Amino acid sequence: MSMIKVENIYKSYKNLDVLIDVSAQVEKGQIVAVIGPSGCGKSTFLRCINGLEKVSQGRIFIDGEEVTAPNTNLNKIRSEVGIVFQQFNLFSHMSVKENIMLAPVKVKKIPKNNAEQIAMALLEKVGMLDHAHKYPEQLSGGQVQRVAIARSLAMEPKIMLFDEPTSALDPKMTNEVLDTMKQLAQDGMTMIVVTHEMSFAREVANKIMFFSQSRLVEESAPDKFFNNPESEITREFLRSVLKLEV
Amino acid sequence: MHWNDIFENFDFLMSGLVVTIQLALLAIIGSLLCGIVFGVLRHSKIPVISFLAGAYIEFTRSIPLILFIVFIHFGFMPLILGEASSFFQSACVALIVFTSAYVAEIVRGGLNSIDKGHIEAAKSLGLNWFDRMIYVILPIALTRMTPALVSQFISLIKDTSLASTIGLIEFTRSGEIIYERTYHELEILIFIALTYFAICYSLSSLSKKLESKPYINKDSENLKQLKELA
Ligand SMILES: Nc1ncnc2c1ncn2[C@@H]1O[C@H](COP(=O)(O)OP(=O)(O)OP(=O)(O)O)[C@@H](O)[C@H]1O
Ligand SMILES: [Mg+2]
Repeated sequence: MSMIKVENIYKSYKNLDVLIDVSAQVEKGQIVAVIGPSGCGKSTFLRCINGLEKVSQGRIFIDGEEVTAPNTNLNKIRSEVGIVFQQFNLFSHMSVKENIMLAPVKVKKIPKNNAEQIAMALLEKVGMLDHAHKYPEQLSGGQVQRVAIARSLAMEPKIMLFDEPTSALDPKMTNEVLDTMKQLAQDGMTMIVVTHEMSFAREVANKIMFFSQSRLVEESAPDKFFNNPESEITREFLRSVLKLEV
Repeated sequence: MHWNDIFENFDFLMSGLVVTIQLALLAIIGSLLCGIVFGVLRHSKIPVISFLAGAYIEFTRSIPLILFIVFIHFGFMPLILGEASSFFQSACVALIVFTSAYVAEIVRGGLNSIDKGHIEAAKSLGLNWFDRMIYVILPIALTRMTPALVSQFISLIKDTSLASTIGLIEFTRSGEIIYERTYHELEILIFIALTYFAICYSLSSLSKKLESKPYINKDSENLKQLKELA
């Protein structure tokens, strides 16, 4: 069974079609990079997967559970799907440690002591152990994103979604965060990453999804995608945006 | 001058001050709690709930406090309790009803000011509506609202003096009682005014301290980092 199964989803806001007939599958442990021009529906695609947006039509399954079913327990599904946004991830009134402990304690009802141990272990993993007692305001952008990743991991998610987690960061901080994500990929996490970082897409992803004008235009392995794409729209994108010879 | 009036009647004035402080404290706690509830309801996405909360807020804010005090004492409380309530109880209820409408508007403003991203981050962790409100949204909103809330509560402290209209002997009224006898208004009034000032000013200073509370360790941290760099 696929970890994520998307069946013919449509999403529109009033007259604006944001996703048109998108179908896709992601297997357990797969790393998918989602690429495409601004406004093509990448974020919306991601947000539909964890139920932050309701699809207009179609069905989405996560590990066999239907996200789009009318009676679905969205909070439960969301607790199993981590997501890291471009910004606004951490709660400003809580320390790093408290940010991480909140959901395990409140959603999973894990005792505080255990949650604290989990938090510390994860902070160590993302290289933020020394900052456990700081407030988000006192962290750099890259540190915030690493804590946000640790916070999602504290729920032991089946899948991690990333929506341009590095696009507000400078190159050095970008690398810190990408390294953390690479490590996660090596640990076997199933990941969907919306990104402009082509090197990450090339080296870490095992599948590229290319969106253009609300449609999933191409879905292929990175090698094929960057060197020999099927669709003319993809070629055009690679040539004009990435200045690649294809 | 007759400053001696103050010292001679000091115990009486202080007993009035105690009533004022008790009334203010209870009304602050009550109106904060009710105001948060009404503010959250007003903020609700469910139209009926939001409308009803809005109606309460608008209605309450359009009526002078003194009318509430009189109406609640002579009309509402006897109706609810089946007997007359004490001046103190009526004044307390009136202040809560009145101030909670203003607090609700402040709370609604605070809730509106929360970044959608924070709410989505909280949702994405699987937190339900109640937990999102209690642990994420309200704490952030309340921190931002502190200055507005404090100035509302400063108004409330001064508003407690209106309770004298139904007969409650609070601070202002206790002073009045003294100078009605001695005819030396000035000294007593100055003393009362300075006391109100001292209370309200300490409250607003305290709120300025509270505003920076989550980041108290910030400067020392920065200093440490600077030292490490050097
Ligand atoms: N809540 C909303 N209401 C109306 N339109 C929206 C809403 N959210 C997104 N859209 C529109 O949907 C389209 C797709 O948005 P989306 O954020 O998914 O694009 P994107 O591919 O993530 O773009 P970017 O690379 O700039 O982040 C855009 O045209 C956007 O304006
Ligand atoms: Mg986007």
